This record gives sequence, C-alpha cells and structure tokens, in this order.
Amino acid sequence: MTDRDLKPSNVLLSLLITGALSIASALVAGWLLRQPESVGARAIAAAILPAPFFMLLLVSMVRWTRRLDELGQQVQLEALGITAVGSAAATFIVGYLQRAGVLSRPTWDDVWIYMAVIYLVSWAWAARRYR
Amino acid sequence: MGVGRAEIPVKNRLRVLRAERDWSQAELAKKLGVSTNTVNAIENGKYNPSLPLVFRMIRLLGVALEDIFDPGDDRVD
Repeated sequence: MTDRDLKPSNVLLSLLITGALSIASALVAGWLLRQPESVGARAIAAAILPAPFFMLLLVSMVRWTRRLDELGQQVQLEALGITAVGSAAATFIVGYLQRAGVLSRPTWDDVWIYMAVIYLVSWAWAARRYR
Repeated sequence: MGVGRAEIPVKNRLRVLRAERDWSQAELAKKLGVSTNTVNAIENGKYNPSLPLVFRMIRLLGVALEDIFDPGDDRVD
C-alpha cells in the first residue's frame, strides 16, 4: 500500500493524533525535567521522551504531504520554506535577546511554538494566494 | 521564477467546459483526483496545472488542449 492509497481522512487524523501526542510528550518532558529528582539517567530519559512521538509525527507529516495534490504540495512547500527561515530568525532573535538580558528564562524549548505558529500562518497565507 | 503558479496567467475555459457537463467543482475534482481548491484555483487563473493533470483533463473532457487553455499573448506561431 502506498501513501496515495491511504484515505485522506485517515492520514489527517494520524497527523492530528501524532501532533497532539508530540506536544503532550514535550510538555510532560519539560515538566519532568523541572522536578528536583530529575538528574542523571532520569533526566536523560525525560529529555528523549518526546523523540519517538516526534518520529511518528514526522512519518505522518511525510504521508500527509505525499497524499496532497499538486496545489496542496505547492502550498506546503511555500509554508515550509517560510517556516524554515522564520524559525531560524526567531531562534536567533530569542537567543540574542537572552544574551542582551531582555529574556531571563531559557526559551530554547519554546522555539517549537514559534515554528508551529509560523507554519500555520504561512500555510494560511500561501493557500489564500491561490483562492 | 514560478513553478506551477500563474506568473503569466494562462486563460482557460475549464469553468465553461465543466458547466456544459453540469458538473460541480467537487465532482470535477473527484474525477481528476485533485482537491476542489485546485479546480477553483485553475478556473480562476491562480494556478497553472502540471502536464500530467492537463492530460487527465483532456482525457476526461474529451477535448483538445487548445479547447481548454489559451496561451494568450504567449502564443508562439
């Protein structure tokens, strides 16, 4: 069975479920790492907890992208291009604001939020151009 | 440089040909194996379809390429 044979609704559902699981696992990992007993092997286990969920999200994302039609793939390409550059810019700016002392708390683990927001906004913008 | 996008809009009669067959955008999209958004974008001249999709249109509608698309000022004689 190829990705083209999968039902669109199943592919989208899989993407939503793996996305929710990835976010939940990242939040749980963040919470575990804030616990005082989270040291050594426990901290490492907590840190890599989201990895398998994000791998599943990656597979779902690839399947969903392959299942899109040609215009959908065009929109996806534009959205991912904007997201890549936008996320890089956000990462640098956040890092430099930390160095400048404007942001006090560690914000590296917040970058994925910028990425998700930029992706959703850029997808909507790219899709709107073809309406 | 644009790939698939209508940098120079290519006029098309897809909306007319679809209406002649009394098909909705959703019906045509299903027959072509694309989304309704794609059919809408092509009809509005916002997106130029790929060659494989153009061939599917020709086969489905039973018309020649020139009956669907008009290159306008880009025509090379």
